[in-house]
Amino acid sequence: MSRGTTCFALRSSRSWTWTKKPCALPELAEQMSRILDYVAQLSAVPANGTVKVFVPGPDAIRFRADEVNPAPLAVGPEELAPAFKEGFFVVPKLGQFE
Amino acid sequence: MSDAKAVADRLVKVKRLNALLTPVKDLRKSLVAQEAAARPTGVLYGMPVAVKDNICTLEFSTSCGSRILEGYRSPYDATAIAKLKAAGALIAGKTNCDEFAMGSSTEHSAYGRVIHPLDKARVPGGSSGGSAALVGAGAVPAALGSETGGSVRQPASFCGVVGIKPTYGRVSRYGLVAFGSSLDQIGVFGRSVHDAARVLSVISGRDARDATCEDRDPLRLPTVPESLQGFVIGLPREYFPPELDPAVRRACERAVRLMKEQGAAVREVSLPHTPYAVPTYYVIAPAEASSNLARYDGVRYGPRFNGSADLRALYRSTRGQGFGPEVRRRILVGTYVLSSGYYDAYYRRAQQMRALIAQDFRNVFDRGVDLLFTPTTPTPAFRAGEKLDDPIAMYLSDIFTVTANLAGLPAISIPIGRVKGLPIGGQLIGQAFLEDEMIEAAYALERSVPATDEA
Amino acid sequence: MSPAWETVIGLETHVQLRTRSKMFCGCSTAFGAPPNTQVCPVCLGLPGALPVANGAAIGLAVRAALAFGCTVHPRSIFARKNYFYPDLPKGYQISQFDQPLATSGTLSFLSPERGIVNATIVRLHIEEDAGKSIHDRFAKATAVDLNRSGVPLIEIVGGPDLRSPAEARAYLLTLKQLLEYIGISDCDMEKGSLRVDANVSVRRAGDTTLGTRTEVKNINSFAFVEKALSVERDRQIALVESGGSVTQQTMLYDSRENSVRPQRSKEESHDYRYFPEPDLPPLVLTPEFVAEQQSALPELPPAKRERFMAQYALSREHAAVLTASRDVADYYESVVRAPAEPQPAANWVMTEALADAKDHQEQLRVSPTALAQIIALVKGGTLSHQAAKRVFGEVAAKGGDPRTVAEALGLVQVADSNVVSGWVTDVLGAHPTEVARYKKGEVKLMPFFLGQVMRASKGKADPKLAQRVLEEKLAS
Repeated sequence: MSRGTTCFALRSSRSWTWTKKPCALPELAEQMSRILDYVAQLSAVPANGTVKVFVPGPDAIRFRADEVNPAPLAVGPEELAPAFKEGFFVVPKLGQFE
Repeated sequence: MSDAKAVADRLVKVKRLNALLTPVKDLRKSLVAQEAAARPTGVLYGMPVAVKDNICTLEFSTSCGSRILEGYRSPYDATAIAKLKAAGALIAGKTNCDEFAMGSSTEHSAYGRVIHPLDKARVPGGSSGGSAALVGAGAVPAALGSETGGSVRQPASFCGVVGIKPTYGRVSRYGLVAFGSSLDQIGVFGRSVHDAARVLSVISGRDARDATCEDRDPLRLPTVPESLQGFVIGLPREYFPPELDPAVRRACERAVRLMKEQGAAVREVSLPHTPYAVPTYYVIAPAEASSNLARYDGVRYGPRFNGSADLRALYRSTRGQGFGPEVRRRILVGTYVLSSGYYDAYYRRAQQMRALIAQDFRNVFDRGVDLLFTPTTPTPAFRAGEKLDDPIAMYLSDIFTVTANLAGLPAISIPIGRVKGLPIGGQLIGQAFLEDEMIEAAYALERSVPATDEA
Repeated sequence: MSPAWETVIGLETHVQLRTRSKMFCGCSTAFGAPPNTQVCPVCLGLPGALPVANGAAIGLAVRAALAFGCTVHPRSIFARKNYFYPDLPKGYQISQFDQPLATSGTLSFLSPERGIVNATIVRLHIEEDAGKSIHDRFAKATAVDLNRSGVPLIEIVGGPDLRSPAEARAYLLTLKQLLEYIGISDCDMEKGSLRVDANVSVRRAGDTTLGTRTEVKNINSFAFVEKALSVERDRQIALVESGGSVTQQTMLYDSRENSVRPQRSKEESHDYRYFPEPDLPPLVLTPEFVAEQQSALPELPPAKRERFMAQYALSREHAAVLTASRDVADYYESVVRAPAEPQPAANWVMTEALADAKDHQEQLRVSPTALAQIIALVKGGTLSHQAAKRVFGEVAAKGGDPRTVAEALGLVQVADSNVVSGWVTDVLGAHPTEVARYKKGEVKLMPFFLGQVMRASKGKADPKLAQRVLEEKLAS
């Protein structure tokens, strides 16, 4: 099945890039639409308000003791941050204010 | 067990698979250091275990197959990794995977696709394709992967190795980079049930750093059973639809026959909500992912991309250039199904459907069935590029695996035969926290099934 | 303000809970550390990190809910509130949404305009704080400090029950007092442990429907609460009176200009896409746990006020002053127990002790025993009231036993009637004309004689005794 040019090009076996071709947006919108139509089949099952949701895992939170005991960090945030100055993370301003 | 040089050499030999993301030079150096530090009394002493790139390790980088974490060095070890190290295992590099574990073929990695160990035109499966390929090629005896919708079992089936997914809450998720939090579990690949189960046993057990990890002792390894006497195996009819590939069906029938010969009772059962499992999964997983991936904003870690003049531009350039198309699709779907006005129709409905799917399993298990047996995948490994045009076609390769993730149940895939030379897996689904029964049956099946014979 | 308009205000308060560690990780919550030093994988939002809930924070939140008389729900759910901002490391805040910890409580307070108001507490829930963004440290960039990220908060949502900016302030002060009483927070607006956002709307007097409301943020002190709300109210009234209509938006208060301006929203839509937090099981409270929190509650301000009025025969106003803070109330009762009589003790605490505390970081520097002794010295005539105030000041600054301090300062009054008689006799002898006038009926001269006796005694005569002796001698 071919639906026109694919925008997801495999350039070589080692590089896989998101091509910013003009066709990208309609292709994406179409795929989104298909996916949402696909998952919408869930609505075929009658809405039963009494069915409880299912959540795996423990039934209740276990309380942690209020102790200062931080999870270990091998290096400080300054080593991880792309931009760090005088002890702070540095982020470009919003453009307006706040 | 093996020395650092031999391990590195074996990994170099399979370089063409593009399964290992760690440069071999770094790997060699690290293995030597790790070997020196490893505890000789540990139960996994000297065992090289490759680790999927979405599990945090102090050694090597943790990029999750993505550009947005390119070069990221985690400042902490995942709990599972700490447990492996405490048991004397060696971390034998990080393996390639679909970006943020989103995919079923490992074609959605920013670092190139992984090549099937037996057929270079085919995919190893995904998202844990790199780990599966390395074990399938015999380069390492075991590897860690992760499951959200079958990302260990499906590639295990494709690559002809054992893949185990534990019960949700059996293994700590602390350090597993989150994709679908209510579905994610670390899983294990092994050459044999024994190898995989040993590693699972070590990484399992309580962890104060994960609130969804149950307060239980580590998994106790069962012994190999004499027979399958007393086991009741259910065959859910929805997993053997009329259109199932005949070769896959033959392989399963052979496996069932072999289990019967070992004394198992076999019964047909039904899990009626199975047809809704894939759409349910593709609402819940993307929804949770859209939130879990919000932290990748370029502020605190990861590379900073060009075009970050103001805050909005920073977010756009980081996430626009850092995420690949499959991740972006899922974030969009996930954002949509959580948005006000659509939450009830999609997310809430999917969670209710999930409850019905889980109830299907409980109903069957409550009626005296111990384990379920199904094909792991509807087909053996497909060709690279074959399913890229249509995301839904890709999603359907998870059709037999997602139910166990949705219901939080343990499952294991074992090689049960070949289809035109390609491996195919059979799956046992067990009851919550009864991995030992599941592993016992897996031992019995493994020893009798001719895994390399055509079905 | 034209009497044709009614203002409707509801306050949302965020209160930092006084715990040692953060809500979902073991990092310290201590104030004032260097930036980004109280962080870990969890509160940094690193890949793979997971939240683990602080039991003490939950206990304090339950106490607060009980103090408001809320319905505490034995089962509540944490939820993710999703939005992008640099000081929100995960890109979502763990909070509570449609199944919060508590609902339906009350806060009774004294409105400056209409007596006791029983304001509704619509809900109270637990959440984590975000980090701090500082916009004026770097030229074209924002500095982000994540020490505060993950600190436990409770959000207290009040209903639209307040009718004026002054009322809003009174509500807030009462809320702060209550939370300080139960010891769950230091409620300091300057330090940011108490934050307020206000919902404001106006309507014509007599209307029952609510007008469009705006949210006012960036109010950083109690004084600014009243100012900010007045400014916004006036803005809305002016807008509607000139034919416009109020747009629902967020307004930021600027304390320097005393004005409000619209905030361009942090994220375009206000859709937070709430869903239950998959990394945390449900929050289940056992009856034992709730009972434990209930018994950990101290006597609350309203009950304490009533008791003080009854037990110590205090007026409502005096009881209110003495119970304004738990520290002062406890102090007062310690003085009475020392022992001292309730009335003088009340006067001394309300005047001298509180005045001194105000200048010394709210410390009550004189111990209850010492204050009781000072009061006894006055009662017994050993010290005049003036002298006692001096002794109080000395003891406050340098400590020491009051009697010893009084003697050292030479302030001990003479209450020996012989000595006093002597002075009286001298004074009367020195002013025969005035004595004669007094005996003829000019009793207004008594203060003059008393003043003379005090002069003669260099202030040491016990004035009450001196007056008695004067009266005796002048009567004869």
